[in-house]
Amino acid sequence: MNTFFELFTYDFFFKAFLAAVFASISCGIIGAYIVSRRIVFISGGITHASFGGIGLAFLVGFNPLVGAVLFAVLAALGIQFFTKVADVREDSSIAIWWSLGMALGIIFVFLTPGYTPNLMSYLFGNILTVTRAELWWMFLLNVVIIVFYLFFFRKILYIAFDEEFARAAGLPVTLFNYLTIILIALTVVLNIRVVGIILILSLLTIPQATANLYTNNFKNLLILSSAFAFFGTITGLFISYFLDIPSGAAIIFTLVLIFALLRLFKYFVK
Amino acid sequence: MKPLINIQDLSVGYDKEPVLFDVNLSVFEKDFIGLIGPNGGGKTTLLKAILGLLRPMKGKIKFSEDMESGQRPIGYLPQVKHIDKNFPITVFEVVRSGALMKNRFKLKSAEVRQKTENLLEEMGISNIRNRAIGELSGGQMQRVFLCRALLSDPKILILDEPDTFVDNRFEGELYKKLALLNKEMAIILVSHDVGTISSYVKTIACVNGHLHYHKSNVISQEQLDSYNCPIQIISHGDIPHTILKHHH
Repeated sequence: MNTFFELFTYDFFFKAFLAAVFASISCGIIGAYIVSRRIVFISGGITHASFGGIGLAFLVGFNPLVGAVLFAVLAALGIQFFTKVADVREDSSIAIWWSLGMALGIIFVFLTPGYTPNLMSYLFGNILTVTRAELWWMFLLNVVIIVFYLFFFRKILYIAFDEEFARAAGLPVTLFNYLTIILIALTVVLNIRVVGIILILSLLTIPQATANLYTNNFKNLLILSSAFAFFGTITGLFISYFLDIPSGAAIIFTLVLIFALLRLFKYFVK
Repeated sequence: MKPLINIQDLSVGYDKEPVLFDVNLSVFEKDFIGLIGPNGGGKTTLLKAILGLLRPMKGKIKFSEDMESGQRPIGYLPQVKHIDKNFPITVFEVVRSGALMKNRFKLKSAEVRQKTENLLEEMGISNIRNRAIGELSGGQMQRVFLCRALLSDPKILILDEPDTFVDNRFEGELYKKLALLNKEMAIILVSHDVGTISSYVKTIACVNGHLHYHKSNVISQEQLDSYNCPIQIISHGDIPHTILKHHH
């Protein structure tokens, strides 16, 4: 038990702990929205497209997260544009941006002279290497999300549930949709360092599926999802430390395990 | 008497392609209009135009002054098939969202809550207020959406095919309720079933590209045909008796 508490005295572990807290809150809330609105696939497209920005940043030499934000927002707008203006079916349009972003990323990285050492940490995440600056950005994002949801909770809920009704009532639905898609893009990008591009969809969907076992109320879903995300991330973090396995994968595995156990429990108890 | 809504020479549709042409219709207080017509004829398009969801391509929709002064007090019950039944939202919240339709900055939160409680009680669904909408039967679902539409004290109630997915018993209850509500508000009811609604509505509007207003609730197959409205009248007797006639 001593080693357990001692871990928190290490700077790298304390930072990882904070990253887990921030990732859980942002992914818990935004993920609950994504799942309720059935836009998981769009979020996947945005996430993977952001790899193009990371590659570009490596090539040109600026902060990879800035590149990721750029490409994520570009993909979010691009998907909308392809669907509404260019008349491409929505799922196809998502797949196009998804693969285009990944392809550009690979080309950019290939063109980058020398070895790019932390590429793996963007693809699969490494919560133990999160920097102080990244933590501040994550903290800021959490504040923005919480304030946004506190102030506009009912409007967000009503628009998500019945967009047409909200539009008929004169709510600025399009503005809200753009704001939420930007929040999704920021959430995805700032949490890439925790679980990585390839695995982030899990933080946005698995805790929500677990929470959905216990509630059908949107507000409770937001809170419970964050709670399950936190529990899974922390447990995964410890498992990764003690078994010495990659943290991102350990976290996802724990999240799925929690879901599976509770689902089975519910099945046998009922 | 001035109409609540006055539609003049309205053409409206999607992507520059009108679905409805040169529609003229006035809705007065305590009107009860049955909107009938074939699928794709433009019934829902007309509703969307009235709700401000579609912009007129030609002509205009005028609202009376007291309609404009409020935030267009229209109660709207959409087709239930457009609702995501897996969405995590409770009955109470769905009904409460009806407050959006009316002066949403003026109504106090406590007032809305009280109104919501009263309506749930009145409609006999107070006991399911904390259920998720996905757990409801078709009849319960319609009651919930009727409550939502009524929360804003509308002057006009618009219902888009409220009789689908609903058992006969609830259908009867619904029309009784509508007859009561009609004493306080105008009602526009979209239906694919002329036979059933004709005994409840006061007038009938046939919509198929154009709109033909029929100032009576009795309509014959010949009249429907002359309005270019290819739907069938099903008389609800013991033996279903259908007259089929399509005119193009």
